[in-house]
Amino acid sequence: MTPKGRSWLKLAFVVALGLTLMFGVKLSRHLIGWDGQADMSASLESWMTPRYVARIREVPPEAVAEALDLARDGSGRRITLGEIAQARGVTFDELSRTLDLRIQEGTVR
Amino acid sequence: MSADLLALVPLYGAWVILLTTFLSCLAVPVPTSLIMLAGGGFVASGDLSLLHVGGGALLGAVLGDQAGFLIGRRGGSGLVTRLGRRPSRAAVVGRARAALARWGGVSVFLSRWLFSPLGPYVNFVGGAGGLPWRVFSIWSVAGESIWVTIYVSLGASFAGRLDQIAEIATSTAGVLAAGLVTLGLGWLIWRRPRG
Repeated sequence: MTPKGRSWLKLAFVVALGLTLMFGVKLSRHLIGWDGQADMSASLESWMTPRYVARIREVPPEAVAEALDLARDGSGRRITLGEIAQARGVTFDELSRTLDLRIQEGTVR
Repeated sequence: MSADLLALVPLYGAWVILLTTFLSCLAVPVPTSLIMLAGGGFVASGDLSLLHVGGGALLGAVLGDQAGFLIGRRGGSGLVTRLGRRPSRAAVVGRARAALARWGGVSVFLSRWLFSPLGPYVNFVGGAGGLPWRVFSIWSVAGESIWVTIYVSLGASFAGRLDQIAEIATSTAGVLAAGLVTLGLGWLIWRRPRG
């Protein structure tokens, strides 16, 4: 191999080593930051569907449908919380706060 | 941004997953990990079926691999042949072809899931370097099946933690792929006889 070729290889090696270390640091940060908590404490997101909420809050889908006042005709299937908030003219934060409160009330009852 | 994208998954199901895995196999930077994890989450919630999510992801990935292989074969094999005719490069090209014939299948398999960021480049190189299509395809389907299974299962298990799982999965893939490239380059620099 020519000396120039070797220099390029060495440069590529340094870049690759740098990337390995960067990803290694990122990975350790995420693993250390991982709280190990169950899905229960995860925040609701606008892309979630009512059934998705039921899954992560570990309640029956009917409980979420009821908390959201959804008709029982299957229309709540594959609609996101963001779309429901928009259709009702409320912000997503308002909707998710109310939803979580009502789910909690329902499970206490 | 990722919220807008994730909202498309329950709406378009298999199609958005298929398109994402297809593009990712051609080295187009799309958030495939996150989309596949979300697909798994929606399977767990009962919004989407496992058949649609797993099938869509696998079909997209295999088609993407085939497209990458074809691009390599059409665009790169002529270049490799021309390089091989030059006396100064003939030995290197010959060694590369021999390595591909010996290790090609395993490289395709492992670069689908264990070293997944390298996958698209293995597709191009495999096509350009004359790896037999049948060998490429068998290992591509086998490897992609593992890749899809890992991500969809993780998404189903950690439905409420998709962002964190996606970050961990991406960083793990990054460490493994960059680490392998570092080792390979180190071997080329220090193990080969000088001169």
